[in-house]
Amino acid sequence: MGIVVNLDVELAKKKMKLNTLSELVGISVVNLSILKSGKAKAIRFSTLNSICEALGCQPGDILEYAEEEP
Amino acid sequence: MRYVKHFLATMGIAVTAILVSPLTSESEWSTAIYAALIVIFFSLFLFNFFASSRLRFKPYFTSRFNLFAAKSSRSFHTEISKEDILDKLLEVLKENNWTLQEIDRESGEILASTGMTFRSWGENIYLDVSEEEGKNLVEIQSVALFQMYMWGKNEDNLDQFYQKFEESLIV
Repeated sequence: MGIVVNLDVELAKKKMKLNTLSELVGISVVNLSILKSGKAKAIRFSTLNSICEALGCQPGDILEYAEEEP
Repeated sequence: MRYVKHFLATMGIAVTAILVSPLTSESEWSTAIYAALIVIFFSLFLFNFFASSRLRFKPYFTSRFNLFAAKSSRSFHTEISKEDILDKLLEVLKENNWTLQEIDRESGEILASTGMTFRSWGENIYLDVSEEEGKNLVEIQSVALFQMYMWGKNEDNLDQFYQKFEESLIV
């Protein structure tokens, strides 16, 4: 599994839609969607900072490490 | 096909050289050939100019039998979903300052064009998204509109696009 992105969980907790988050953080919906689906190659600290600020959460709430199955 | 193209280019240069030489420039038939060549090239130029911004003429421009349009292609797989990939490709096109001409979301086809540079009259960029082995396959083709030889400009377009695409995955 590796790094798991729990952005959808945090969005559901805050009852926020991706479009709203996109407007709040200034990142396109398609980029947030790619991040949410775990297909992004990397995430900038500035992006993480903006998302945490908008959702009122910690980086650990969004990113999680899950051990890969052998 | 490459050899046919080289042969045609050589013949074109040879015929032009013969026509402009002092031995033939005064003859009657050379005027007719001149006129015919001008009409052919002008018609081809006009047709290419109007057809270049239409996605339906993609088979004409990308055909390997179209020797008057130099072309290069590349493909890569991506795990990005079909809903997102077209928007992502549009974003990358915009970052490259290429102009979107037409998009067909159902078939997953995009047509964009680059600007004119000192190396070319501009190129058409055709993007095609299809599904292969559970992943999305993106095929990109760079096609010159009025040139048989591109001196690496098509390859540069493909490199530039792929590099920007990879960079865009850093969110």
